[in-house]
Amino acid sequence: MKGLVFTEFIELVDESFTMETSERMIEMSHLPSGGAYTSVGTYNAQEMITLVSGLSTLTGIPVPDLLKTFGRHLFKRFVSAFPIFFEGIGSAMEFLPRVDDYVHLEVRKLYPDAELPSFSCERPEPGTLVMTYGSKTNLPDLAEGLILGCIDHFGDPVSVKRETGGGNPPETVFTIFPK
Amino acid sequence: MDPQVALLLRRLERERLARKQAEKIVEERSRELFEKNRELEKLSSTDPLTGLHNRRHFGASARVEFERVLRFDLKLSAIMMDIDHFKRVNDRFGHAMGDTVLVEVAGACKTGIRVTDLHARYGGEEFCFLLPETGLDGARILAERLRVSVAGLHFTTDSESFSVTASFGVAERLAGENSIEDLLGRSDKALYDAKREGRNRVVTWEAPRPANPQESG
Repeated sequence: MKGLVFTEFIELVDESFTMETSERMIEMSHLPSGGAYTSVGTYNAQEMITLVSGLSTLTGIPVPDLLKTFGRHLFKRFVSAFPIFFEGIGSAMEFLPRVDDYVHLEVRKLYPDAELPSFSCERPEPGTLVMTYGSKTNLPDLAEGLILGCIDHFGDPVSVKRETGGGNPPETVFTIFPK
Repeated sequence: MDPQVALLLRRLERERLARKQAEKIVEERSRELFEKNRELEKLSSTDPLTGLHNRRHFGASARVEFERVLRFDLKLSAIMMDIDHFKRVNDRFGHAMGDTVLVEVAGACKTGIRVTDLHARYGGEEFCFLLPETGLDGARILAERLRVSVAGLHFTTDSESFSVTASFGVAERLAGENSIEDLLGRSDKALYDAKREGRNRVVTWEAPRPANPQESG
């Protein structure tokens, strides 16, 4: 997992809780990297799961809620860090199908070693988008947070329904439909 | 120690380690980029088949060389070369053999010229050489050497063996000549004469003689 995701997570914990919470979370996680993350580095995604579990223990907030909140925050950061991906795009329904076909393609050019999730999209009927999330890391809550962050950003009047599909790790199917 | 101070120190230490990692990663990426750039530069300046420079790179380098010889008033000569009846090689032995001929001929020429000479595959079977600090006589001798080298190459197919020849046009920069294109143009004219006069030869460019009033009269 790219270091940017880790540095953003620690910043969010600093801002939403305290720096002390961040430090305690890192300390109790006994991470192979020691928690010294740089945005240009690459780290084992398991460290993210360990950190979020630690934060959940410290704050009493369930892991899925923390990941969803982080996903929403991460999307905002992507918007400000990579504005080129959002040029000329007017809605979440327009942006989300481009994640696999365009955004991840460009990310791979920059980081050939990046292990990216897949978001295959289908449009079963006009106005409805079905996104199937698959990832070795399998963090569907984070994926949901990112999708919700995208909807927040563009302000589409849509709802998201989440279901678990097949596969190992299981795929997660997000249906985005008009409210 | 004050817990707040201890906390800040831990944070600082982690940030110091992260910075060191980042520096190392950036250094590695810079090195990779440098090497990729060098590779790309080579690819963009080289004819992939023969390994000679391509025409674009030759043009740029030749212009720089021309400016240098102009500034110091040095000699400069150019050789244009074309493999004779190359189309027949392709037609008779196929394009793969044609490519082999181009590669071998280019190799022989590259070995024959000096490290300071510029070289290029100028067209399909046409090569060009620019010889800094070399007058017409030196250039003609070099072209003759290349001609003999090319004619000495032997190619073999399943059923027969053959050799090829090449024609050469040589010209030297004239006093007051300010354009590399003019020099190359005169070499090309000499090459045309070499072809017209029977091929497999070196022809040097000569200024057209002024018409003799007695002859014309």
